[in-house]
Parts: sequence; structure tokens; C-alpha cells
Amino acid sequence: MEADEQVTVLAGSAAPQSPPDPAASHAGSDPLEGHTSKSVDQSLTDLRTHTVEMGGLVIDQVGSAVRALLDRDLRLAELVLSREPLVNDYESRLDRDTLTFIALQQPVASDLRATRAIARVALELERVGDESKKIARFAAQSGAAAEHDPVVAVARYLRHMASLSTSMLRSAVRALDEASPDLAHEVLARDKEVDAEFATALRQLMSYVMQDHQFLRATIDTVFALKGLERIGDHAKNIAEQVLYMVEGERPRKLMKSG
Amino acid sequence: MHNMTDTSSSASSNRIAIGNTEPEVKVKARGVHVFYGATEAIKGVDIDIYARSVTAFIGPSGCGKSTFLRCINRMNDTIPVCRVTGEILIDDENVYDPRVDPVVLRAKVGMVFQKPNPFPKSVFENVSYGLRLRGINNKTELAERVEKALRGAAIWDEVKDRLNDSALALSGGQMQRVCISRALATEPEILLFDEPTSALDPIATAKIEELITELRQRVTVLIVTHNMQQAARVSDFTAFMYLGELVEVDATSKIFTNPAKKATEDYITGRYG
Amino acid sequence: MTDISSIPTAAPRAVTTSITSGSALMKRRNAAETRFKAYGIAAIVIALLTLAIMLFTIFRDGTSAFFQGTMSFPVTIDETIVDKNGKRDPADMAKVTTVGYARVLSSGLVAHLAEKGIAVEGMPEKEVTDMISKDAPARLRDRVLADPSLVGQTITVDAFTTGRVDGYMKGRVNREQAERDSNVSVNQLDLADKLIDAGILQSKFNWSFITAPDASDLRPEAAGLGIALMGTLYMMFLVLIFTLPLGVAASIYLEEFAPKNWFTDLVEVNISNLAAVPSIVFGILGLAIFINFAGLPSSAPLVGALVITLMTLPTIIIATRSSIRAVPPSIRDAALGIGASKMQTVFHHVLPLAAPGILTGTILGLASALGETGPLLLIGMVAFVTNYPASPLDGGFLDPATALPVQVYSWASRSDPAFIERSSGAIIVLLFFLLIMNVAAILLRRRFERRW
Repeated sequence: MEADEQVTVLAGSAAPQSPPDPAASHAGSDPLEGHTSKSVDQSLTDLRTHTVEMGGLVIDQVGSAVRALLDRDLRLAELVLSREPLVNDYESRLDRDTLTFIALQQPVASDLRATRAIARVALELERVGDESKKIARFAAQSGAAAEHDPVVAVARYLRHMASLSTSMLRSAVRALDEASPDLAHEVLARDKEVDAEFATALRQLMSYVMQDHQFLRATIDTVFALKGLERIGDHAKNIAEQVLYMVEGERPRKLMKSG
Repeated sequence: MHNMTDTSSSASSNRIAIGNTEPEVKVKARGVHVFYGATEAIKGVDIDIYARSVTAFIGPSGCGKSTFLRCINRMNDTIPVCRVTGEILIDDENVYDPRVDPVVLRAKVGMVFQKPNPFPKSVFENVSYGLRLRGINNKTELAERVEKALRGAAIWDEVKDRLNDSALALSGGQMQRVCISRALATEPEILLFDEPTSALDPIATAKIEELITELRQRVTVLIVTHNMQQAARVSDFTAFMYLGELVEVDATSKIFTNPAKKATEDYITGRYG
Repeated sequence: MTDISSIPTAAPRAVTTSITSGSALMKRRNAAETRFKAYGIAAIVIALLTLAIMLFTIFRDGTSAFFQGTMSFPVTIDETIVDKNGKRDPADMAKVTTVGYARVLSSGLVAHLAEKGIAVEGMPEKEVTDMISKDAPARLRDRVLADPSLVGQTITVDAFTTGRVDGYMKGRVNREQAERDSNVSVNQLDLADKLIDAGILQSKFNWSFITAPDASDLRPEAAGLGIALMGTLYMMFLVLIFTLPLGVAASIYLEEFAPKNWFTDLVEVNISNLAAVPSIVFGILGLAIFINFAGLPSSAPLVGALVITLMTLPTIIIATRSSIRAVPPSIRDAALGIGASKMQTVFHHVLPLAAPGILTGTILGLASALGETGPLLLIGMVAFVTNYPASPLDGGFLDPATALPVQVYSWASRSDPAFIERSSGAIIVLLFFLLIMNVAAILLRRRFERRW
């Protein structure tokens, strides 16, 4: 499908995120494997695989939604909207599977933290999916681009923030799959970039509004789109925190915000 | 435990369809009552056990789960005061039919007990005993079948160099796996496990649970266990018995996430009244 | 910052008990336990002391029975007396009685004394030769008949002296008694001293105590345990082959197969009671049934064995049953679960595991039967038997014999102190067999128990 091919070019992703094969990359040293019961190993692997698949789908959704907005691509926007139920399906399936796993296998320690982390990450990803849906809806409603379109005014920021947040998401999901605290810390650090970018974009929009009052509605929607992308960054950060909790067993200390 | 049984007068039964095909039923119990003298230990049990599945029986002490298990291979015959009524059908043949020879029955239905009980003989003699009872004396054939049984119980590598040493010199978990091989030697279609790991440490327990999940591909397994978590880990179907009655039987994932009967829920969650 | 005042403080110190200080109750308890231990030790010490005294007495009195005064001297087997026809034919020579051989011996002794220059003045020859045991001629006769080539040769004969002289050597007889005793004279005692000095008369180890048959009052020195031992061995053998199968089979049936009704209960009660019945009652039973009714010969090992079987069966049945009960039910379950029938379970698994207990019970039962005197007296085994019973294949089980404990009794009731000495000697032999049987029981049990 054309739309899919267009999707692939965005944000540097080579293909619709195909989940890395967990078994291949983790053979032997994977802390989550090695149970005497092969079915437990298999269950945990399946949970992780599905989460990574969901992550891939959601990252795709974000990129496609922003692309649809920037390029005024109606069909791409429709595609994103049609895939939203898939995202919800993933979330409910992961929710049910983690619950069943806990009931039947009584995991403890790292297994328990992993299961809980996966359930919460699924929820975060589902919310990212919601944010992409909102952006796609905005893209579907806006008409042809005008010269002084607020979207055009902040197009650069939109693009950059999309690229940042999808990159954060990708790292966060990889951090989950590889149980890597280093990757998780990286993601936590980059959230500030997204926030800064948001602040700059807002200022740009404000100066635009002061110059040109026409597209107020579009401006407000653009603000929401920017905010949505900023929130996606936050969700990525939450995912990274879940990974740290899963690996280290403690919540990372939240730094006090000074303002 | 007042008010725990809110069942109707007849015990519950299960007739589940899995997927689209009706799975094969290996063992059927219909109206089974067991009396020890004047005491009624099992009060009418109806249940279908599906082929090549693991069915776990849980319930408090004295609820009749072991008694029911022992009806299937007629081990209760050894207790003079025990009387069984009703039918137990294996492949649609009644186990209590007068034409049935318990020796033939017990080749088809093997049993593993709570305390590992190998004979005080060598490992080889233990595993081959069932075969020799049935007239198989050819040395080569015995050796082959013993090896097959020991492999089937995942213990061949550990004992292959000590087949002629005493079976009592093994660790508890190894002894229990030798007992499992002993039961496997006659190539049974049904295996009854009566609390097989309650005397073993967690590592030995895990190995045996893993073995049971593997065995399920070839054999129909019934397991009685005090340990509900074991039932959750290992079985496809779980039957909850209380005071001699079958309260509920269903797929394990359903029983442990959302049981239908309050009695089951109370027992599983530890609300013992 | 957490509020310090919200941290719960520890509760005020409760009253606690010190573990290092004692209490009166504990002290009383410990004292009572120490006293009890002391009683136990005292009891054991007394028992051991009694045992020691008993053993000491027996050995002091009995060891001398194994040694017998023996005179060694060369004897020419005079052909003219022994083999008049010169044909060296034992059948022919057998016509010569012990009287002739007595003369041979006597002349040999007298000649030897003269040769050695031992003075015998004042003693008639008969007095001298009377020192030779009355049994010696018979021995010599047996020896010559067995080997006729000895005729005409001069051989060294080891002949016992009479019981009185032997008694003198062992310190039982002194000159004062000898003066009043018709069986021995003071002169003989003096001569005995000289013979001892000359090395002709010595106290040698007496194998015939163990092998020879019983002897009459005239020849206590020749009395031996031979027949008693054979009788006892025959009896024990028979008891073993009767009781073991019967006892084990009865136990297995009662334990495994008998239905649990009033009848089997009755049987069990009776078996336990039988174990407590006095042994003399079995003797009367044996007399009535085996000898009077069935007509078996009295004093035969077979009858003795039958009586002792009846006595020992209850003990063995009880021991076997408790061994069978001791086999854990898990083994039975395992065997049944794999498809063994009840009979196969018993024979393949239960019996081998119960074997140590069964064997121990049997051996101990036999050991105590070894010492039973009462019933054997009643069936006549106290008779004076001089001929060895034949081998079992020739009906030896029906030949008259006697038994060790009975021999002890009969010797102890004779007047000659030499018999009393022999009675203690027999007790030593009896104890020796008991010891062997008990050690065998322990070894067998150890060997079988290792397989658990």
C-alpha cells in the first residue's frame, strides 16, 4: 500500500518497526529467561514480543500522523485512524495476558516486576496511540495549506518534536526489550529536549498569532498537536521509568522541578 | 466453612468444548459414590477427563480427591471396607466390570505416590518390575524399554551409569522420577499422580512439574495436589472438591482468574471461614 | 522531613525471665532425672555382676571337665591274648572281650613301671592296675579291631585313669577321703604322685568329653557329650525345617490374607497365649500325642523336635508377624500400583524386607529352645543312651538319643563329683552354642538390614 511506503520514510525508520527477535538477541544472557519451566519462559517472551510489536505500531502511528498533518495527506490520516483499534486491541490483550500470567504462574521478584512493567507500558503506549489519533483527526479536518497556516509556521518544530519523541519511544521500547537501564536513562535525559522544543514552538506560535488573527481555531489545534507531541515524550519517559523499576527494583528518584 | 457449598443437589459436571472440535474424553466418571464402611467419602461425582491433558484435583484434606484418584486404578480394592458404586469408564470400558483384571488395568493406568517409594532394589530392577510381571523377560527388550522409560522421565542421563546401584541411594527428586519411570515402563495411557511433589524440595518439584507438562503430550494426567499454585502452574483443567463432592471443574485459567462458584473462590483466595 | 515525634517509641521494658539463673522446679527435675539414671546404671551393674558371678562359677567348675588324667605307656599287643588264631580277622578277634584287653593293658603298665624303676612295693598288682580306667580296655579293643595290623606291635596307649585318681589330680579327692573310699586307696594316690613326677600321668585335653557317649557311674572319666550333642543337633535341624515354613506361612496368611472376623481374632489371641504356656505342658502333650497315640519311639530326636516345634511356633509366628507389619505400606502400594497381585507383592517385596526380622526371631526362638529341658524329660530323653543315633538317612531321627540340657540335668543328679564337674562342663558347651546362635542372629540381621 502506498501509504505504508510513505510511512516508512518518516523519522528515519527503515521499515514498519519489526520487532527484534527477543530470543535471538538474548540467548543465554537474558535475565528474564532460564526458568526450569519452558512454558514460563515462553509466556514472558510472548509478553515482551507483543509489547515490542505494539511499540512498533504506535511509533508508526505517531510518525504517520505528523506526516499526514504536515503534508496535508488525508489518506494517511485515515490510515492512522483506522489502525487505532489495533492499538487498543494490543493493550487489552496485554492487560489480560499479564493478569493471567500472574494468576497462573505466581511470578515473584524480577518476573513480577517485568510483568507489571509490561502491563503499564502497554497502557502508556495506548495513550500515545490516543495522542496520534488526535493529531490524525486534526490532519483529516484541516484543508489545503495556506501560506500563513499556523501549522506551516511551526512545521519545523512539529517535525523536530515528532522525530524526538518517536526516537525516545523507540529507545524506551528497546530498553524494555533488552532490560537496559542505560537506554532508559538516556530516554529520561532527552525528555528535557522535547519540553524545550515545545516552549520554543509555543513562543513562535504566539508571535504568529499576534501578527495574524485569522486562523485562531487552527492555531489552537496546532497548540494541542504540539502539546500532544510533548506528552508523547512524557509517555516515553514513563516507559523508561517502568524499565528502571523492572530492572533495578526501585523507582528512580524524581528530581524536584525548580520551576 | 459454613455456606461454602451452594451447589445444587447433584454435583457439578463439566462438558466443555475447546475451540471448535469436541475433544476426546479419556475417562468418564458417572455417579461415583465411595463408602468406607458406613461413611460416605465421595458423594456422587460426575466428571469428564480429556485425553492428553492435565487435570488437577484441589481441595482441603479429606475432601476425597485421593480417594477418587484411587478408584480409577482400583487401588481402593485393597481396602476391605471400601465400597464403590457408579461407573468409571476408560475409553468407554467400565473399570469395575467383573471381567477387568486389575493387573491389566494397572498397565494402562499408572500411579505415582506422595512419598517416593522405589523398591529396595537396583534402578534397573525397579523400572523393569512392571514388565517382568507381564511376562517380558527378554534381556534386550527389557533394557530397551527401561531406557525408554527413564528417558521419558527425564532421568536417563543421571542414572545411566548406575542402573545396577540401589535406587535408594538417589536423592528424593531422583527417586520420584525413577518411580515415574517405573510407571511409564508399561506405557500407560493414563498417569495418576497423588501429591507427587509434596515431599520434595523446590528444585526437584520444578523438574517434576516440567516433566508433567511434557508428559501431557503423550499421556492423560490426573494430579491430586494440596498446593493450589502447583495446580495453577501445571494443569489444563482444575477440579475443586469439597467434602466428597465435586464443586466446580473448568479450565484452569478460568478457575484461577474468575471461578464460577463462590465456594471455589473462597477456597482459592484463602477465605476459609 | 519526617516528624521525629511520630516515630513510635519502644514500649517500656516488660518483666523478663533470665535464662542463666535456675529455678527450683528445674533443679528438682534435674535431680530426679539424675537419680533415675543412677537407678538404671545400678540395675545394669547388678545384672552384669550376677552374670559375672554365674560365668565365673561355671567356668571354675567346668573347665576342668575338658581335661582328663591320662596315663601314657607302651603296650605290647600280645597276640596270644588278642588273636589266638593269628589270622588278623576282625570278626574272629572280636570274640575276645575287654577282659583280655584289660590284661594286655595291665601287663603293659606293670612292665613300664618296672622299667622306669617306680617302686610299687606294698601294692598288689591289682591295686596298681585298678588305676587304669575301666573304659580303657574297650578303647584299646576298638582300636585294635579297627586296625588288626597292630597285633604284635608295641604301641603307646593313652589310657584314662579312674575317676578318683583324676579327682585327686584336680584336687577334689584327698587322702583322708581316700581312706574311707572303696574306689581308691591312699597307696594309689601316692603312686599317682610318682607317676606324675615321672611324666607318665598327665592331665591332657580331653576331646572325648565332647565326642564320647555317656558312661555309667563306674567310669565317670569316660562320660562324654557325644550322643547329647548329636541328639541336640538332630533336634535343632528338625525344629528348623518344621517351624520355619509353618511359622512363616501361618504368619503370612494371618497378616495378609485372612478375613478380619471373629474366628481369626480368636486364632490370634490363642497364638499369643500359647507363647506363654509352660514348657512342661508341651511335654505332656508330646507324650500323649506323639508317643502314646502315634506310637513314635520315646527318646527319639524326632519326638523331641516335634514337641519343641509346638513350643517355638507361637514365638516365631509373633516375630514374623511383627516383621511383616514393619514393612512400610508404601512398598505395598508401589507393588500393587504397578499391577502385582497380593501374593506377588508378599513374595517379591514384603517377605524379602521382613526377612531380617524373621530370621532373627527364628534363631532366637531356636536358641531358647536349645535350652529346654522340661518337655524333653517327659518324652523320655533322659534315658541313658550309649549308642550313637544312626545317620539321618538310616532313620537316625527315630533312634534313641539325648539332648544337651537333659544331659546336664542327668549328670548333675548323679552322686559322683566327677559327674558334677562334667555337668558344669556341659553347661559351658551349651553356653557356647547359645553364644554362636546369638552371634549368628546378629550377623544375619546386620547383613540383611544393610539393604534397606
